[in-house]
Amino acid sequence: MTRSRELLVRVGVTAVVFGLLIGALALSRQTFDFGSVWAHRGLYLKGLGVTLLATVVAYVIGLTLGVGVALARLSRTVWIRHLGDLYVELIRGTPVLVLLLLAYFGIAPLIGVDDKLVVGIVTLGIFAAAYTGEILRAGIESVERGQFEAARSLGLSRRQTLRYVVLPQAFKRMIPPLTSELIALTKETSLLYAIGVFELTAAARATGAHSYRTLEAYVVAAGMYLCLTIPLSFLARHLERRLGHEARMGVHL
Amino acid sequence: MSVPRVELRGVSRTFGEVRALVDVDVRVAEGEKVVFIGPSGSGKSTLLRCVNALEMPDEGEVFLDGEAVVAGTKGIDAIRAEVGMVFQHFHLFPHLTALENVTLAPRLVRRQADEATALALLERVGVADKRDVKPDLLSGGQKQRVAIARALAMEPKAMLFDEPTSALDPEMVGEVLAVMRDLAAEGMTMLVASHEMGFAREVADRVCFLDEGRIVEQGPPQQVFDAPREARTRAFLSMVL
Repeated sequence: MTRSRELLVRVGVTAVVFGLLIGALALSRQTFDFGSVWAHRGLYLKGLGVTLLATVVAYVIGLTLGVGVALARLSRTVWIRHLGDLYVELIRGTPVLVLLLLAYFGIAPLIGVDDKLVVGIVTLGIFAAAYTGEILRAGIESVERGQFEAARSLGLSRRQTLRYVVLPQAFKRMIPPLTSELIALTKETSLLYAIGVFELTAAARATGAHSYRTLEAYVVAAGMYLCLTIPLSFLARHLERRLGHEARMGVHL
Repeated sequence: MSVPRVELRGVSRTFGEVRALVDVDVRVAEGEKVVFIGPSGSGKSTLLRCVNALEMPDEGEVFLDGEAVVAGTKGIDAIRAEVGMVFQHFHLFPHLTALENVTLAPRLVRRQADEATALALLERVGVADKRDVKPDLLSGGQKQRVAIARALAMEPKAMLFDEPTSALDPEMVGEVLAVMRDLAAEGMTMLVASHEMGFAREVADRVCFLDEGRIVEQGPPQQVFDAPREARTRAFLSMVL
């Protein structure tokens, strides 16, 4: 199928899906009034700002800790490796919501921290690190063993081999899953609402409760999340294409 | 006798149940070319990989110019830098061009970024016109020649060839063997694991026949090929010649 024809099909399918959604809503005789959302636009913008801030900072924390987790899991020393394994298993196996509640209501008082936003962001970062750490580790391990041996046989040190041979190859394979993780994290910030952080979801809830226009309030919030996540998907696809020098054939089942 | 360039002394290596090398002694003098032949799994690759510590012997020791490879004072990285290795599956760095493949190790290990030397090496193996091409776009024969240039860039004291033509299409074997022949003529010390009996006969000073991790027989190619003393050598040669 040619590219332009494929694009046409994609646009068509999208139009049909949205048409059906809107049609179904029309049949339900629901009337729409986004006036209350507009009246509360200040709340939404404030919430969106907090959501963005939380996403970015938590992601940076996640990446930084994730490097440590990956290095630990790839370590030659057994007990360090096991620490990495433990981290991933414990953090990844617990629901984020439970971690957030545990951190804010359980641990934060013990160490005398009371800032909801700080506790929330750090907890999300710690959570994200379990995933980014796994992504980094898998990316490094996906590089063929022969690459490592060729580099070492030339006299490169472990560090040089990692920096100049393994990571450049691993990096482009990490981009798609790292973007998925950023998208997931964007959505997971909505759970900060549970510990009282005023982010985008909290803004929608407040607007809905105040105006009784619940549907509109959440539709707008959902739309705003999508405005963040969909461009990220496109960016990831673009980067993947630009960095991938091995031309990939699409595989269709 | 002077100190051998490469020496394995009583080297054994076991992988689980498999005894890849059993008490192997090899001495290779400077400038000598030794070709290791034998069936798959006979230990040829493991032997070569022990020379630059890609494989650690369970027992025995390996020496380069009298310096212990593993426990020596130089350190493994420094020893590896002095031994070139060419792999069956090339293992070129796919994210770098042919030229960058050659310059990477001198740049990082020796701190010399001499592009002219690297280009001369690519010239010598006949792929200078591919200097800016990534490995994906090279043929198997071209890849292996770039890999040889990459190893030579470190000015090694000895070169290890681990079945360098086994992964090549037949029409490309010749171009790689030609480069190896030139290298031999220039006096490079070479340890080659190969199934190319013609090359062994022509270039080798000595042929070693390995089976089940032991050196069964060794000697000048005429002797090993034309008048093998061991029954196992005869059996192997009758299958491959």
